[in-house]
Amino acid sequence: MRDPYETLGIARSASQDEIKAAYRKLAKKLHPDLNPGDAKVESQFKDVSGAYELLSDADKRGRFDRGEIDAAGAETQRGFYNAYAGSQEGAKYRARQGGHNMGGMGEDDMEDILSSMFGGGGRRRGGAAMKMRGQDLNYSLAVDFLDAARGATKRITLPEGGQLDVKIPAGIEDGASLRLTGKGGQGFNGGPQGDAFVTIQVRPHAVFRREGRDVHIDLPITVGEAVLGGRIAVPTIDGSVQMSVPKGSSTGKTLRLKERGLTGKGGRGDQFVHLQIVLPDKPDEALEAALKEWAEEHPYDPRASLKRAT
Amino acid sequence: MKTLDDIVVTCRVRRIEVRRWVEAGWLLPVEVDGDLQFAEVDVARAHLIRDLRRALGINEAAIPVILDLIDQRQASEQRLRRVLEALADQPEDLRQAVLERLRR
Repeated sequence: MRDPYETLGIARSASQDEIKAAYRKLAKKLHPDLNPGDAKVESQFKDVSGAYELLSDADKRGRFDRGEIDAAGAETQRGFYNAYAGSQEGAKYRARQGGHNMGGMGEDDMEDILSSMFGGGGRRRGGAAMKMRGQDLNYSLAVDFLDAARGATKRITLPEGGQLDVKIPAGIEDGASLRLTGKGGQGFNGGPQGDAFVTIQVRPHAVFRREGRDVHIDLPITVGEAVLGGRIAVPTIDGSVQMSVPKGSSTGKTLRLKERGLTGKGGRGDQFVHLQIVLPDKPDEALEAALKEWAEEHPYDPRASLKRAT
Repeated sequence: MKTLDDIVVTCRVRRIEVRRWVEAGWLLPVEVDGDLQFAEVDVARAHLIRDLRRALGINEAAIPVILDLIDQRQASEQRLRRVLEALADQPEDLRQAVLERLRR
């Protein structure tokens, strides 16, 4: 990265006001949202912002001047608004142009163009008015893992005031899109309403992991449970169930709970439980004494296969 | 989806400011069970508003005018793109005729 003083075109002795003034002047000229489609301008803006970030902070500026830090890494990672110019996500902002409210004539309104092509008048001219379907609107909705697993109804309040009840079917996958027929923008001249599309983002869960229709969890067990076996309560997406751990279960052993996974095409998946032996929090004298004696009398080599392979 | 707190951290703005932007309709997050959820486009737009206020020193009254102009420009680009897509689907001779006309 270039010298930040050079990037902003200022002297090393510049005051904070001079730095700010220089930055504002350049930012006005170079902001990518005001200069769409110009990659060079975007990279210049990032340099200028990075330089300003460094020099506007008296502490960072001092460290830079003393050579303690360099100019790299000062710019932050961000997306520019213009990157969404063609996205469905951004349609809600573009949809309210020309003084129309949300659901009004936006980019889907091609009638002005069509009527000028075919010699007609504007859309407001009496009989020339065409029936038009309302615009489709897109929303994103983040839901918790368990709501997605079990199904839920979420009430979303739209920015423009309306409410939608979104029924999330059990087992929905991250990134899936729901279509709410007739919940989009108003139609025109008696045309039907558009549809609303809701893209679902599933938040990750601290315990459950999803793989296809199956759920995986890591289940900590005690040394005693590993050696002696027993019945253990295991969390599933439907709540806790009892599961038998067989005698002599090692870490990494995987047990399957049939049809405790997610609902999907072809029925429910399974839950896979990966056992992990966990020792007591503190070293335990009784355990040490018992194992010392046992280990001397019962040697075994769990690394035999490693030795053969290496 | 991002929360209000995420916006505060990534854009380095105060909560109350973001709330004002939402109330003014400059940002259009959805509200789910009482919590605001911001899509990526909302986060990028929040960055833009912050830049307009701070970096460019534009006063609050002028912000909606600028946002509207940017949105209009984007909507126009989208319309043009649709016209071009429709044109691309037409037979060669028709496309050539349009090109001829545009060169005049």
